[in-house]
Amino acid sequence: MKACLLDSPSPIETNPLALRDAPDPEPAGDQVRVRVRACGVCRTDLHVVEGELEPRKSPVIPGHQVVGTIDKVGDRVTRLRAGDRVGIPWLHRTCGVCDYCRAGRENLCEQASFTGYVVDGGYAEYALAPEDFVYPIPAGVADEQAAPLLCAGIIGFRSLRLSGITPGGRLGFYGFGAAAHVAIQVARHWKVEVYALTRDVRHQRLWSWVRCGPAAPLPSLPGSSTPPSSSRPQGSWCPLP
Amino acid sequence: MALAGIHMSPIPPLDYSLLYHERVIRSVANNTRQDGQDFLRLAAEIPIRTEIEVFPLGDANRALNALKNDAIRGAAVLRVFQG
Repeated sequence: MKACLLDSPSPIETNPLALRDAPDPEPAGDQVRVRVRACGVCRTDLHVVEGELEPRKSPVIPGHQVVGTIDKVGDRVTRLRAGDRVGIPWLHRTCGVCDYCRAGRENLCEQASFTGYVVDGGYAEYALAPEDFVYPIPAGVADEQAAPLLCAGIIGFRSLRLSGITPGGRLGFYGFGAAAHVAIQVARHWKVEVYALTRDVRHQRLWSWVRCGPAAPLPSLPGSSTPPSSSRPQGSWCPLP
Repeated sequence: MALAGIHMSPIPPLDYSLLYHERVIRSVANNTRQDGQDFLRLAAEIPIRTEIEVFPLGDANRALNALKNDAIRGAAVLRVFQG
């Protein structure tokens, strides 16, 4: 298969990922093999590629927002079958027996492995994952649209929960990127009043899209034309209508 | 306050008065499968839209470079197999 491999971490400006041939992975035991159709690009991938996270596998194929169709299953797979559309997220596998796992806090499992970091991920034509750690992708959501839901979406959702926000409350986003542009839709669904603090006007372009929809014209980038009239000076809060 | 990054630059000092009154700063580490199931169910119900910029698999370096430079509007996505 074709895959983007990271041999050793280095600044992204040096193009550390190499597209080359790699062996097709074979599913074993409880694993499913996914024929990858789309893979989201996350800032965590950048931390892996540039070495801000200590390397755990080398070479490694990054990518943990993987959407595709199962094409092969291991001999202990019972629920899923070839043809099922699934998503492979960051949390690749947990031990299931440690104190954290038994307390419903498997996100903190000390034996956890992570897709695209500890094991190969989705910057490739095929990827493996345990049957119990993949998600069915909602029907009607295109592959490319679904990919960012698998980390930007899920981690943003967990962050909303941990923030303690409740319906009718007020919420502030520090920065407004992939996760926030999904989380704000959840917040609005929960009838939450939302504010955002962004570094510059380019980030405000995204909430303009969220507010007005994809058909609305986006404000231009700074330097290229007049900033949007709704932009605020650097360091000020923007209420998001 | 919930911080969702897996890696961050050092946090600068802050006046204790900003934290006093039992305000809370916490990190967010990974997620549980239950988080994912709950979110994807909600995402379908709302329904949630995503703004994406699509790159071919071979342009992963370029996509990450754009992400580093805040040049992605929404989320970058690599397209692998089509059809």
